[in-house]
Amino acid sequence: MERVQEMHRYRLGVDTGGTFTDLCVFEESSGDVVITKVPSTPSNPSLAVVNGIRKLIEKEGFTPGEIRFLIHGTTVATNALLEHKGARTALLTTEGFEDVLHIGRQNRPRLYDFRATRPAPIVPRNLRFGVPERVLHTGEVLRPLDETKTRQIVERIREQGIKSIAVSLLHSYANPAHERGVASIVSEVLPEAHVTVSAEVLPEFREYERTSTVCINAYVMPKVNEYVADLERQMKRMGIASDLYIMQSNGGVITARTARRMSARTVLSGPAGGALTGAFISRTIERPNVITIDMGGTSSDICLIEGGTPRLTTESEIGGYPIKLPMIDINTIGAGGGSIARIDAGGALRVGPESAGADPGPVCYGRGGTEPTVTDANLVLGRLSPSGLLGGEMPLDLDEAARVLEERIARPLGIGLHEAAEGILSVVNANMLRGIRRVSVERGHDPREFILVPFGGAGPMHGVELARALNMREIVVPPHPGISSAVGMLSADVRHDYVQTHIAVSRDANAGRIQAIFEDMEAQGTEQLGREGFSGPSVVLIRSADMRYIRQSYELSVPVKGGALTGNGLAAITEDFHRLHEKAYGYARNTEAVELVNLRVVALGRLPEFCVKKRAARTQRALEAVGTREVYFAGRTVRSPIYVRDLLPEGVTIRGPAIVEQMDSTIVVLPDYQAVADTYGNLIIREREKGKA
Amino acid sequence: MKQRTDPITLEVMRNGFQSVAEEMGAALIRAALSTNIKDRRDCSTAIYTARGDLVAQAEHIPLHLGLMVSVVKKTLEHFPVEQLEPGDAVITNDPYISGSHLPDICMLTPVFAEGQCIALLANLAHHVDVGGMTPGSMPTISTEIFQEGLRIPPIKLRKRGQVDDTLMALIAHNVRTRYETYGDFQAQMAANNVGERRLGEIISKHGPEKTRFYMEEIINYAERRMRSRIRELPRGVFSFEDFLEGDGLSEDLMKIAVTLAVEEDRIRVDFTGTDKQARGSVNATRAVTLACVYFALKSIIDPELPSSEGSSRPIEVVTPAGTLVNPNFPAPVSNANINTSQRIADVVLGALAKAVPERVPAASTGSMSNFTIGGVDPRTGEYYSYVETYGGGHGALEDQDGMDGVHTNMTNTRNAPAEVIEIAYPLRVERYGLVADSEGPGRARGGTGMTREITILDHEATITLGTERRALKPWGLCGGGPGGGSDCRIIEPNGEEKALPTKVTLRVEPGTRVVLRTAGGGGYGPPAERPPEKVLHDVEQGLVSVRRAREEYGVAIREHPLRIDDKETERLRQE
Repeated sequence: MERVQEMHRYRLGVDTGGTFTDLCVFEESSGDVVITKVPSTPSNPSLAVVNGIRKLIEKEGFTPGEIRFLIHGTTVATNALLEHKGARTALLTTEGFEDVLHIGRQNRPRLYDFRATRPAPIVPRNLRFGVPERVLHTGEVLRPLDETKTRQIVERIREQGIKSIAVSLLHSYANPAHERGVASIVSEVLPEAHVTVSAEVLPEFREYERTSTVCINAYVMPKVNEYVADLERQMKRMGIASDLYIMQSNGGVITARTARRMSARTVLSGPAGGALTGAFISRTIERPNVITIDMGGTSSDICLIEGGTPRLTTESEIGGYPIKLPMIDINTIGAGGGSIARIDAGGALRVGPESAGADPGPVCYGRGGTEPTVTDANLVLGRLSPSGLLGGEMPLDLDEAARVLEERIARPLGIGLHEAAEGILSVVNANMLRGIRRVSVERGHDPREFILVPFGGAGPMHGVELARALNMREIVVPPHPGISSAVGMLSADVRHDYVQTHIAVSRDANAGRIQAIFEDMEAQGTEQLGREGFSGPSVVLIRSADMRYIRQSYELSVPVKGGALTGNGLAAITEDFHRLHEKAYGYARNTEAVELVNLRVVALGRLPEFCVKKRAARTQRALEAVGTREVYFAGRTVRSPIYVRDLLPEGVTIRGPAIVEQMDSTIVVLPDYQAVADTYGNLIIREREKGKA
Repeated sequence: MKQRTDPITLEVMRNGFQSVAEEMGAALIRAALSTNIKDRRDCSTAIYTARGDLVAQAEHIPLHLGLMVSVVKKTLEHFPVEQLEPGDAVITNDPYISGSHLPDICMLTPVFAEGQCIALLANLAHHVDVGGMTPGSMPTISTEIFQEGLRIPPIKLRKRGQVDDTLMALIAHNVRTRYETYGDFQAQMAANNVGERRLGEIISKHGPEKTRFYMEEIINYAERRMRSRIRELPRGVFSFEDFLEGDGLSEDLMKIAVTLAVEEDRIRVDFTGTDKQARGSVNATRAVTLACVYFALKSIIDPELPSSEGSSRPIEVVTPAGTLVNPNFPAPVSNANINTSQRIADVVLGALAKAVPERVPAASTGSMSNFTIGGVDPRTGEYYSYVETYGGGHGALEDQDGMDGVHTNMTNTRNAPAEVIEIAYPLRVERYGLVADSEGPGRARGGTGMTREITILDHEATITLGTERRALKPWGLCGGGPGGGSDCRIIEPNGEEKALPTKVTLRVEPGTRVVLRTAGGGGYGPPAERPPEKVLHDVEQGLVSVRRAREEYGVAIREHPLRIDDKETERLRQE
């Protein structure tokens, strides 16, 4: 074996969360994965990252120099956006359209709630400047850019001490010359400013979404820059030789350097890591169709993975701000361990969306929570261990949870304590089921053709019941459900997305022109990846086209083969579009004209494959429960065995009812179900075949 | 057998029925062909008991709230449930039955189990055209419903699973867009098929008896919840009136009056005193009126309350026949959804403001501001039609400024991006923005209106406007001032500017520029109580002028840099 590989055999995933920073290290030669958690440090998240790395290094006894890849999921961009703490940003846009960012799509967020308002525009009106110029959708210039006036505007911006500038002009996707002109004036007058130009970030039509995306990038860029630069310095000081990779919302990673320029790409950094865990499991155990549910304290993230790939969307909104960059399509619902149960004015039991969160948290945390939550119900039912979470580091107050549940729910409803607790679970599960149906059934997918991968601290307690209600046959709990994002990141590739709006009826379109646009985007991708150290077979380029029937306002993404594109090629893509449309919407209009709208290229830089090796055959231990506990299932108490996840021998079947405990989660195996640990450390749960003992 | 209601099963079942309605809606939107359904989501889906009581609904625009409650019951009056068989699909679009305008076609199908009708499923979808005197079937100059399109009484489009091709041919023969119409009917049938399958799963899991029982219980639950919320309101009688500015044929003001009587746990909403029905197409059927009443009450009393028959049970609505809010056949109705609906919502909110002023916003922009341009695209030689509704200012709440440039009350459709307009139509958007000084002044200010300027390129075109709130501006509350009024004008190629009436259809020359401004929202509380820093902020944002700050708010602002003159402000506010 080569020495170089010997030296750099650790791959590290670090995910910053609200309460904990999760770390996961993967040793490439043995395939072993080790995890740890350290408290997050919100005021400067890099402290927790560094603390965590130190802790792992001590625990595992390797040196910083042995880290080959360091992949990081960060919430810096997300928080800057959600907490409105980004940089003061100015916008230069076409004169007469300064308020596009303010009006948005003119719709309000909630139909019946007068108190629900749109968030304040990310760039206030006095920092939005109209530039005298006009380009048409054909790319023709109607009114040349007035450079003198533009210069005066930028000088005014300089006087205001602004450091980040967004440029988004009408129809710049068709002709970016004016935007470039504005950008070069900005860099002359204000050389130290960060500049984001729409034709570079998102050359795509529909001015509001494009402008919003560009402004968000400008808004979060200075914060991300500062953070990433600081983290890189600290890494260097520790002696880590690896480049820093940052997780993007699209499920790929980018180098820190790119993240400092394209910062908006990192807003869903953490949840994307979770979805990748599902994709990774899908590949390793060869189940192409997976639904993941990541259940945390206040909410659950649901993601559908088809054919091993998480579904992407360009329709995401964060905190009410649209971002038109491709992101993993995650449906977030207000149901989590901290969701509060209450009886409403009509006498129904409701759970969530209000949450006790992590602080004060559920009643049983003993930190001042006074309202019964889902976690309290799980504790009262014996599903959670009264000896506490995190391997006993955090004890739980069963008596207090039972008292509050009795007082607030059971007594008013005139039912028993256990019945009330089980009722809370039924209701929260019903909410989650609706969430899962939304990403599956409503988009034409049958959940029975999918496996369920539950994670997050609370997910594996609910997974089996959710799967049963949806007739899903298999539940796969990953080895480390409580830190799935950090693990998922290790399987990511470097990824850059390119788009160019090009509107043309497919049968009249100029194949040469389209080929040239694809080639141009591919050249950009190859060059970018080259700068990041990728070449030859590690560079993968994937083309696609967004297409629609004329006058439709939704597009479908159609894969396009690489190489020279001909008229026949275009006809084939059009055929594919009809077929995909039939599949997605149940009909196709084969005689109807089809429009090309956007052309896209994904440029992947393949990182060495992350494959958890099958565990070496261990000496077969016997299956031993560490104890038993009274657990309440479907109206009755059953004495159920308790197992420790780490001690489960591979391939041995556990019969439900059973509880499997581990440091970061608890798994509930219902009566009539059975569980078996596979060679990758996943716990596979299925319904027992009827009639078998 | 008498069942006992279990509050947990109730909530689980409610989620289940809601899922069914939402999945029907998703199927309808996915499969539909016309943009009204696909993009503007002008459609709703719902589940009913066999008696026609609404159990669960997925609505995408508030207008359908009341429509879905009434349409099925009305249809059953003409077509009793005993005459329904498995596989039947009944359609109707008659506003005097369905409640909406002719383009909204309702489809109703029964769900059977063990040989009995257990439930009904219905959906309502806005078709692109149903014939009549103008494309789109929403003429502004109709004087009787016969001019507005094909009227379909309740009839079976599908009998025992077999589509009636004769009927389909008759309908297709009378519309301008037969291809879309056919596709949309297919989508409506597909949506109910999805619902039937899913409801079938619930029925086979719980049995028909229990399913039926919980359908009733969900309705009872909503009723209990609504009644308990009504009890929190102060009792009393509260009246309000407001006016429409013309019916498309004349500029005469037309009054809508309402009296709200809040009793123990019910509310009586009485429109006695409302003007007689109009000659033009602004008459709101009783169902449209109900929709506006339910919208206003739901928003103020319990925004999260799931829609069902139960939530409307404690509400009695009196709509005298032959008036603007309940016209007699054959009065035209096609444009009530655009403007009249907004005014009905306004008067109910205005009356509620006398009961619970802390919950009610001042008047919002008060119109959907419908704007249509039609002509032959010189680039292709094909007929085109640009249709859009514009938002305006939202009314202020006691402690919250109204949103600027937004759709309010009975609608929430998205705008067309300027880039999309210019690609799709021979039009150029010259300006799209907020209107400074159009906010209703107040301690909390109203939202500003917005403006769009469009030039018609290289061809003659016909423009149609349906607007409101020009002279009668959106009112403020508790001392707040009114929002700025709307305004429509054209600038002809020779530079001549002409003001237009609020509702008009006219032919314009190539190169004409249309300038449209929508009304701002009313303010809340005396403007002199608005904190000067907030006024300064609005001035900095360019939404309020220095002069208006002084005249309306009593805040003196010095320029270069902008700052408050405290002494002068104190003096102004003491006056």
